Amino acid sequence: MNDRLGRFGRRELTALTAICTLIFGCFSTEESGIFDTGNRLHFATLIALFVSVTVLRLAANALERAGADSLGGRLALFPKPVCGAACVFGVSALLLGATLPGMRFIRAMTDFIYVEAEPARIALYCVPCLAALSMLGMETLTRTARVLLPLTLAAAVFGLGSDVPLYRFYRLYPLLSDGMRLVQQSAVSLLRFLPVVLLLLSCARGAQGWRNVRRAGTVGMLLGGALTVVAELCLGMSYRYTELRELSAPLYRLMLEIDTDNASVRLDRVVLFVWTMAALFASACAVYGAALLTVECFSLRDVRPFAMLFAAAVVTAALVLREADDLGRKLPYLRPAGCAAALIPLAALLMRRRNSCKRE
Amino acid sequence: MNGTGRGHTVRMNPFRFDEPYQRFELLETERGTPDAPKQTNDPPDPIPKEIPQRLSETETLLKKTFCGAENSDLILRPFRIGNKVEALAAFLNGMADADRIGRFLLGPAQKATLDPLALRTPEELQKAVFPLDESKCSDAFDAAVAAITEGQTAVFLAGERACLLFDTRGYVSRSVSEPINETVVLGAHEAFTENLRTNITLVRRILRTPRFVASLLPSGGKNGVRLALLYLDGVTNRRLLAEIRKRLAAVDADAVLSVGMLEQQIEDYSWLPLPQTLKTERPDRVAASLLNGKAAVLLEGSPIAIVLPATLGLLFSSAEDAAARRPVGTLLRAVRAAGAVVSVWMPAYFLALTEHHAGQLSGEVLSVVLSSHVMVFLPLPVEMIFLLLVFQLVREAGVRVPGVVGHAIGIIGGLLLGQAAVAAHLVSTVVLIIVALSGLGNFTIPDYSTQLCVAYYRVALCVAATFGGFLGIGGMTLLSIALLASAKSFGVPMLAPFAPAARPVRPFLIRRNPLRRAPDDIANAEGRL
Repeated sequence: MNDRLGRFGRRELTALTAICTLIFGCFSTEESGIFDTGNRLHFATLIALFVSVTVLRLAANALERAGADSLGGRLALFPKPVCGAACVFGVSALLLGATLPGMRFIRAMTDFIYVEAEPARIALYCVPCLAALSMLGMETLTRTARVLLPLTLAAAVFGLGSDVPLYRFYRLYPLLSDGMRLVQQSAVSLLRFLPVVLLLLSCARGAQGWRNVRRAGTVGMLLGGALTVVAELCLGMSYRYTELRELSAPLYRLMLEIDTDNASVRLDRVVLFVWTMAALFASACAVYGAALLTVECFSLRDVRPFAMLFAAAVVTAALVLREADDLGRKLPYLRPAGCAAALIPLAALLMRRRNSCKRE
Repeated sequence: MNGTGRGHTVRMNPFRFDEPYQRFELLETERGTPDAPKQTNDPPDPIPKEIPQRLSETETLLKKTFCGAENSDLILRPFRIGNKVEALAAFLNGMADADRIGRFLLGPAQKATLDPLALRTPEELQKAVFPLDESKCSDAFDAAVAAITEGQTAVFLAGERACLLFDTRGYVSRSVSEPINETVVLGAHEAFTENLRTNITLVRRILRTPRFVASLLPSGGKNGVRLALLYLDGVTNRRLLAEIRKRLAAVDADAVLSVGMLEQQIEDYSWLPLPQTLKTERPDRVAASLLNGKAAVLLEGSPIAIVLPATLGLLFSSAEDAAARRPVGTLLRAVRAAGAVVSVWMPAYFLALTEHHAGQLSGEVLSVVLSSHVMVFLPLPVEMIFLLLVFQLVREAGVRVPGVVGHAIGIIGGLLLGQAAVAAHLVSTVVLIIVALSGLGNFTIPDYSTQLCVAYYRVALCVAATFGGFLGIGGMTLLSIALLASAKSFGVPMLAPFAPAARPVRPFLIRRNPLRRAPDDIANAEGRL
């Protein structure tokens, strides 16, 4: 089978996990409901992060005990209908994870940078990148992540750090809005790190052992998640929750607030395009993960046709969602259902293990 | 890039399915963190102290010590002294003067008449037979080996546990010219010549160890020239050597006239613009690379060696980095990296700013750009790409025209042509400055092939910036990084030891290691790779 998985080390996998967590964390939220009665996004993100890390470690442990070398390989042992259904849900979660950042970046570009450009023309630049990156395979993606991580971190630090004089703590009020119950609900709806978990479980074979997956996954998710929380706190200290409800591309807006009247060259767009590169990269990782899961579940021969197909599908979906603005805003509400469905394969694995233990 | 093509060459074939993962891999291990490809072999056996009594045993031992099965430099010449005493002369071809050996060792030995009743101790034979002034007797085998590597000739006698050492050193010392393309201020000033034997000797003079192997092989071309595969036994990875030998054996060409032609036959990716081997004309650079676990190939008739595997760090390292003090060396590397960044991205960044993101520039800067461009009839992107290509034109003309005229063309092209072009409103001054800065940055890259690759890549980036602004630059940069991350040179990833992180972690592009860790950093390559 030509799965283009290759082999990669812990540091590369950590870098990839951190970038994906940061991008899916910062650019997959579109829930205006989260700001209904106050800004509880950072708390929800923290809970979602710890839930996701726990799910990753539990699933990795379960798969290791079951003797599987990857999620797809394990699912392939189930009866075809069960395997097919689980695969569809897993692939959907990954592709949805890849679509939402793309949709947000296309929207940001058409709103702020290429104001007169057609979104489809912008998407034309994304398709070859996404397809080529996902076809190059996981080994290449992990090595690219090592190069891209310092750039992404520098862009994040510059983008958030340059606004420090504008931050005001009082804008975070009311801190917990309606209390912990709503925070918990938000956290469940914000299982936006699930594509990262699925990606890590699918690519475990290339990481040369589940131990590496657990360690790289935990460190990478905590690093990326911490940055996500910091970014959300910075946003919360810059805009009141009533403003955040209406803002699109708030992280880019944040950079526009800097007073650069005396500077010869502004850097906000450079920072935005570093973010865009990171977003394209994270989407490519998710697309590759989806293609790999499909190939392994259905014992197919080559990952590349699916990578190409999914890349085109992701960009098309991002365009459609961007056009149908209303649908785009509603779709994230469907994600809890998608995420819950994606948990089915994991649950099935755990149950199967428990059953086999009982039989023993 | 998976797949197989003609020979070993990796070709991209998106329509071929079910290809197994069969690329040659050197770096990855099963331990989670990839290892550096430096030696995983068993440590070499220590050199014995005693000289065997039998000549056949001595010969076997010498062959083993000097890797005689592969090392064609070791000459073992059996002869008789006075037609009575069996002897064996051992010396290294190129290091010892063959004429001197013939006239003062082998000739007198065969003509000598020995008294059958006299004792034939080595000391007596030394006095009676050989008319060489610098000679001595030794009973230690390791001392004999050290002397042979120095260029001396050891004569072993049958039934004796001692040998005679004669000073026959006679390697080439001049007619070797200065490097033309890799000039340095602080390093050595000698370069390879077209003579294969001389070139091997130049390296052997720096690496005086019996572990240095120069294996002579056919080049594979129908013109029948030979090549030499150089490596340090016990340092260079055996799997790497086996792969290089396999690829060299697979070469099948009408003619192999230069190392460039050979390189194309053995490299991993024919479509990658970046060179996958380091071409150097400096023996000290080859020696330093060999100490770091690499291999080198010399071709008869070619004054350039190829060092493999090459990584990005090696391509950006210079021969004199190690000669500079550590902070200065690190600073030099940083300047070089900054020069490369300016060379690659500055023209495209300027185009993206002026064509798509003018709002990012302050009013003053924008007015300077516009006022300098106002009389120029060419659009800004065309002007930029035109000037970049003119720069390449001047450069190519300067390289092809010999000597002083070449320098003059560079000056005329740079000053007069630029001045005249501005005066004729063909180009604007701002664009001229940007292209000049980019060109200067390009010249800080030490490797010529990498310079060329960067020069044409920046034109491609300019095209992307013209059409897509920062989005075009970002997309193309991302794809380029990914292609670079996927590329390997003889099984070693081009971005190693940074991506993947090879153990032990060593400097990649900028930080220079202290010399106490030599030989890891003697070439200021990227460490042990």
